[in-house]
Amino acid sequence: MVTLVLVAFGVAFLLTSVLGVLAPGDAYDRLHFSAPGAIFGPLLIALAVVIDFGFFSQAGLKTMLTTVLILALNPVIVHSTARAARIRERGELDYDPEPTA
Amino acid sequence: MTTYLIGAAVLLAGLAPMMIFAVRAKPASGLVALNVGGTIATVVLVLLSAGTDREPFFDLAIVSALLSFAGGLAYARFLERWL
Repeated sequence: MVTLVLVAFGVAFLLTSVLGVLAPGDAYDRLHFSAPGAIFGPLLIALAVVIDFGFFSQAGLKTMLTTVLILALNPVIVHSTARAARIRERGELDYDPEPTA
Repeated sequence: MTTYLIGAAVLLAGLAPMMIFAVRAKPASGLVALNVGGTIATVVLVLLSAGTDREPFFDLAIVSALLSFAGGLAYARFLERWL
């Protein structure tokens, strides 16, 4: 029963992300909507698998590794996508690391 | 176990619009759809492995997570100026 609820919520978060990406807006808006699916979706589903199979089983450990990978690597992808979108828009990154106040 | 399989089926229905959107949208938006699609594909692999109760298949999800990251990063780099 707990598994059912966790999987349902995880799938719901991912589908929310899908709807958000399909909604009208620019690439930056879509990047925002991709966050809940990439964070809570894998996390809740990994929790369900760990509860079902046990933490120290092959399934539990591999699912945790997958989730940690997604959680750690997704911000990098989001950052580089936003960077690419900005450079495409302006022709340069136009970033001033030391703003002259 | 059926829970996982139903969840995988529902998520696959969400993967289809991402594929169509990635092809039809502007490049930057399509890249976002590609990344969301990669996450969904990884989670579907986890759900299918759990649903069919075959623990070695979880390796596929790990590989998918790593490769969709590498692919998205390469696309983002090339989208900056060269595509």
